[in-house]
Amino acid sequence: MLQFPIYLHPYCCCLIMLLIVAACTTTSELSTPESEKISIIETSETTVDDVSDFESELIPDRLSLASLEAFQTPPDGWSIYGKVYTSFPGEPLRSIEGSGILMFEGQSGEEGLLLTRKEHGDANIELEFMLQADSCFSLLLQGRYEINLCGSPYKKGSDSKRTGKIHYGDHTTVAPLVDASRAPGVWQRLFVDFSAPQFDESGRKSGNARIDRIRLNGETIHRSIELPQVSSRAISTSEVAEAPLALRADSVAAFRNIGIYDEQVHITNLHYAYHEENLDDDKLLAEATPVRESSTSRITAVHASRGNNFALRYSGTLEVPETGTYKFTSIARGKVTLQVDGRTLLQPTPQPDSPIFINLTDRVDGAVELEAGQYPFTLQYKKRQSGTSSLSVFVTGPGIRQQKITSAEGAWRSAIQSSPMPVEPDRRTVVMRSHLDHLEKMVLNAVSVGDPEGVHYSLDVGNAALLQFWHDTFLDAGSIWTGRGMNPDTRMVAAVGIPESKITLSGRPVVAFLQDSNEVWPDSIDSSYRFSGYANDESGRPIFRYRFDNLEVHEKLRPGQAEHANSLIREISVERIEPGDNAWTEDNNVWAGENTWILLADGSRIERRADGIFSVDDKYFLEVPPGFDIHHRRSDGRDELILQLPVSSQTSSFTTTLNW
Amino acid sequence: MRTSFFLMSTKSRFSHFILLSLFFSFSTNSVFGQHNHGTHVQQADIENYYQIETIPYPVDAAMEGTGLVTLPDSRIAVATRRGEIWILQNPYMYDREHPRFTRFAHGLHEPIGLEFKDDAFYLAQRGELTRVRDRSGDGLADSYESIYSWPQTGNHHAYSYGPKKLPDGRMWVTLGLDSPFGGQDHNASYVLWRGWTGIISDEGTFEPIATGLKQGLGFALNAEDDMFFVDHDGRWVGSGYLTHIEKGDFLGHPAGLKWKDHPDSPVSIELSHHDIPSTTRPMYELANKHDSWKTPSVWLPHGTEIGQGAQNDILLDNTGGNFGPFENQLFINEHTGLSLSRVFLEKVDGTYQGAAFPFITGLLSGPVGQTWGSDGSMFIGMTDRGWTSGGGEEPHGLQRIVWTGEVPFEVKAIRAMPDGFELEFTRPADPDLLNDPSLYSVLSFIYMYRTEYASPIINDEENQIVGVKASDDGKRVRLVVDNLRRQYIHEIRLGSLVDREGVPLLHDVAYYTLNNIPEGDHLDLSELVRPEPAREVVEEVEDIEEVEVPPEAEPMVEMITGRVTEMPESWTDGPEVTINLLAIPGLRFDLASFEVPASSRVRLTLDNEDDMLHNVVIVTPDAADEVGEAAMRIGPGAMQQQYIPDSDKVLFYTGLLDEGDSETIYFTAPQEPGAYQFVCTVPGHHIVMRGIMHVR
Repeated sequence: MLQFPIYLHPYCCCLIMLLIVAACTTTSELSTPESEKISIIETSETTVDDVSDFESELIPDRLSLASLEAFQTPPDGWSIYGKVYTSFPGEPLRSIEGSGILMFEGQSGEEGLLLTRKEHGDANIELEFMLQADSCFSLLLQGRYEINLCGSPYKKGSDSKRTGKIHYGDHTTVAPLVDASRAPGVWQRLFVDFSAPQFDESGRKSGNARIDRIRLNGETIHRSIELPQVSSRAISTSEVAEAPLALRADSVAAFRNIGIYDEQVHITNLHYAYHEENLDDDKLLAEATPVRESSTSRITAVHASRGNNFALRYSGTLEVPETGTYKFTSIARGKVTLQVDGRTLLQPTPQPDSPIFINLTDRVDGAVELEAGQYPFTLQYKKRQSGTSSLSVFVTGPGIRQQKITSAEGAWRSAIQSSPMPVEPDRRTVVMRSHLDHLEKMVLNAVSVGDPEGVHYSLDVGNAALLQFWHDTFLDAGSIWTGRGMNPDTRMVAAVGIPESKITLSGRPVVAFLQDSNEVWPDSIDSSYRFSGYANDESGRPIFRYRFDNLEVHEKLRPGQAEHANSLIREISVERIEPGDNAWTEDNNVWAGENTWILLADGSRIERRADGIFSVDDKYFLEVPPGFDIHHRRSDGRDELILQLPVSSQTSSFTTTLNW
Repeated sequence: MRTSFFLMSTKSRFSHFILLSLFFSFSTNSVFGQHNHGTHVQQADIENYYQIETIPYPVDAAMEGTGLVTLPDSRIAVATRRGEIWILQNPYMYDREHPRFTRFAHGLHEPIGLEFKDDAFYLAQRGELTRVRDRSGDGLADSYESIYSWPQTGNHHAYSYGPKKLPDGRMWVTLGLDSPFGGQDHNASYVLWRGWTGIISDEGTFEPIATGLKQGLGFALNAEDDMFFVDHDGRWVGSGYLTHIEKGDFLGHPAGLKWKDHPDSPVSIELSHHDIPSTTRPMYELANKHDSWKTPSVWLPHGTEIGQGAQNDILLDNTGGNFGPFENQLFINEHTGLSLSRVFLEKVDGTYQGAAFPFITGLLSGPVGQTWGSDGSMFIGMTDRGWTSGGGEEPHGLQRIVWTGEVPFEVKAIRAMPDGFELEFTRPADPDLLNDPSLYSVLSFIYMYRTEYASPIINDEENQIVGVKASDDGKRVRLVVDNLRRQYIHEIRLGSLVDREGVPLLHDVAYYTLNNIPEGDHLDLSELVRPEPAREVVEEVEDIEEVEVPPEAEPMVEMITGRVTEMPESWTDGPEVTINLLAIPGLRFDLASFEVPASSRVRLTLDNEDDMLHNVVIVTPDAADEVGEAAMRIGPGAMQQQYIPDSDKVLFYTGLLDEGDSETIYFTAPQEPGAYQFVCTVPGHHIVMRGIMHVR
């Protein structure tokens, strides 16, 4: 007969403990209802550990961030990593080994000052940055002129301030025109066009330093600000022609793609010939005697004596400072031809067949490999169309960022047609139907909704798609409500003004009927779709109704509660409707049930950051709902999160939350 | 000259006509009848040198810019009559981009003026000097400190102006007079310091400086850091003027003298605000008896190309040459004429004097606040003050004047000489052209010092050109002129002149206030080019064509036109129609229209119940604009002429009426039915102050 001892051996104790723990765990798993579990079916290859080189829109000519070599002796706290990310706005930043990202991990209040070895004067500065909720950093141009950026974005009604202030002198602050920032934990882009102070021959300062423009995430937040003094946090009180760029971080901050573009092409020996005849034939034009010719110091449409039916032919020498690829862009009302060293780089775009889609402003790009040195060039601007003459040509190359080689100075007949007309939601939501420009196309059935809490979005109700979302100012209707409300170049309805820092989505329909989880998501909504309109809920917020043969989808967005991000909760509910006798056919298998899908997000990179939390293109965080089958897939070159509606239920509803 | 012209038969009308032409040619009644006061300058010519650009702003913003200041970082701030401060980024519209607007502050009480010091805005509201700040750094004002407040009555015209910042950081303000109803005390000072100007420190102390101002809206330091004021024409102020001001000065308007015995007052003139006589004599006769009574440094004659007497703000050209060739001169804007003039100053025997030149016209609305942009362009804030006070069509506006870089051909400066004047040009001309005495004409006049609103010119006399002498480089010319009179305004007018490159003179008139005649040698007559001996002006009448009177001569119709203030004797049955018209506040007549039968006998009485001068002029259909504009171009003699221009579109009219005055005129309604117009032709009023006389 076995006897159980009254006391247990210590090892047995542990074993029993383990067994008890195991039992408890199993029990808790079993007790979680299926409806609360987040279920992601992963087929995408994109993961958070992927430290691939993030494709940047910037010209690849940046400070090397393989090491800290580009900087003067850095204090402690600065390191190089391959990737920096977070699980949600407000969470601490995490890092992965590698190169390409500069990060400061010192404590708040510690000295996080970093100077580049490279010194600069007039320059365009670009960089990307990521902050934590509690952190701020300053970019000090020439180590002296300060732009300060902080972690949490501006939220209306709270104490938070718009981020992106310029500081000069002891206490002067120039606040930004709008808050274009994003949540901490998201990569943000900063662009500064800076002019250094000027000095005369004796070395005395003859002109202030100046910031011509600052763009944050694409939106201009400062324009034309002189800097009569250095900042109180400058590395030196003296003002100079060239000095290093400095970063001053107050707390954890990461940076990448830092570029200092201070080179210029130079144009010399510039002449122009002005013609009013023989405009049809370029060969004839080249030989013909001009009405007037002269040497000049600038390329400009202002040299013409009249508004239309003329050609200006410029010739001169183009000096490029470095060997590399040079890209020229011309934006002009008229036809531009550019030849450098005998090679044609820019030619006018042929007119489209349909007059509905003519754009009087022609934008052309062309690139060429050049070695450092001088090259002859000719530029011809021919104007034979209505509208005010305008000619702008830009060049980008090694060390050069969008240098404008033309000038409009002296053209006083301003083409400004409209006046600003801000529309802001006051105590009630504002709904505005209009046309919208979206990804270089026009959306004809758009609705924009401005919320008094300062988070706004636009829908394409012709395609049942969420187009874009943003915060702070709602929109400027001046372009459509003053003047003729018309884009004079296209004769299309003018676009309303929405901050460029808005987050733009693909515009694909939110609902699709897929045969299986591999079918490509369509660009256009199913042919059975009809927009039914919208009705307001008790809070005055609109609920949009999308009707298909057998179901009706309701979509409503309302402000979310994220502490460190602007946030929209997107409520989607789907109701299956009994088909009418003549609405159901064998071919139109809508009621099959297995194939109604919802597009939660799409982008180049969607990464899972935590349970139910994804980062989309490093621009915003998406929270997905529990209790549904959600596929994280790669399809047709995109990452997508798509949700399959359960077969069995008549209605389903869920929310996703957008945080930016 | 125009009365009863139609009382004659056709035949005798012609002989009358000839006689009248002869009369005009011999007339020396007023020298102004013989001068062409039309401007030679087309707006298009100015655009070669200075261009006016309109700045677009948010449609719902009432940008009535009464005070403008440029921040050290080149942003421009605009204080508006509606109590707001707007801050503009990129007002220069680089790359043709709109400026960006931020409504920095609001809730202030009619500020007129704006300054910026130590990161804070200073402005004078109706009742206080306020410092407005953004403490939190979010770009919006959150702190409004009252630095100093002054007593008020609440009268609508008691505006307070400024500040302007002094080199020591203190703020200069002006407290304008009240404008109650009628009587000698019109424009009065009911509470302490109204009609005074003074300096306020950050600690909240007020140092009174001077009095004798009516409003004194515009003031600024000149290049030597001396303070200058402009005031509008009005009661006791014959015309707008610019004057130097120093501590203890009395400038002329008696009302402020009420406080001269206050312990803080630095004004000690032996006069009281009660006992200054209102006469038809000029102010200097009285002023010269008192050391501290300052007469104007430079008069700005109303009704001329200098403006209509409502000068608002002064801007010193300290752009270092970025605004053309007029460095250190003062630009002065004028509300009614929508224009700017410029002033060249010099000191003779320790007193400021100088010349006023027309500069530019054609602004959108009435200019008030001005500032230089960081690029040397001039920004102007404008308003019609809510009642079309200026001559413009827009209720408010923001514009910018930019120098194109081309130097215009202008008289740059005029300096007093012992024997006349020296003109300096901006560009050289051919000395032979300059040495033509017939190119120049000079005359001089002055204004009365009286209680009535503004003054016509008086004592106007010609100044004969004795001779001229051009400098060899063609940039200067000496005019030796007789009949120079101290403290008189001398109008110097040039005929057709071009510079060495054939560019014509942009403006051909200037007004020099000759407070003192400098000592020194007269030019020898032998050095001068003398004018041709004066010929007798005789109009030879040749070939009077006798016009045949048509056989069926019309019966003589007795028609009364022009200004007839006594009922004609032939109206034995009295008038057929009696119209009573009121001129009421807000530039209005109380009747929008009235009806009279064709050819009827009309008696019209105009009562002026407003506090400004008004008249009523009945004109042919659709002629109100043309006649109103012509009234603004009559010249310095305009007021003498009751602002009635010589025009065949003018039918009947009253004289100028002061507040509370009344005039009755008699006329025969036109034979031809139609919608004739009645309009007030006091400069700037014609735009809204009008109605229709239906002739049926």
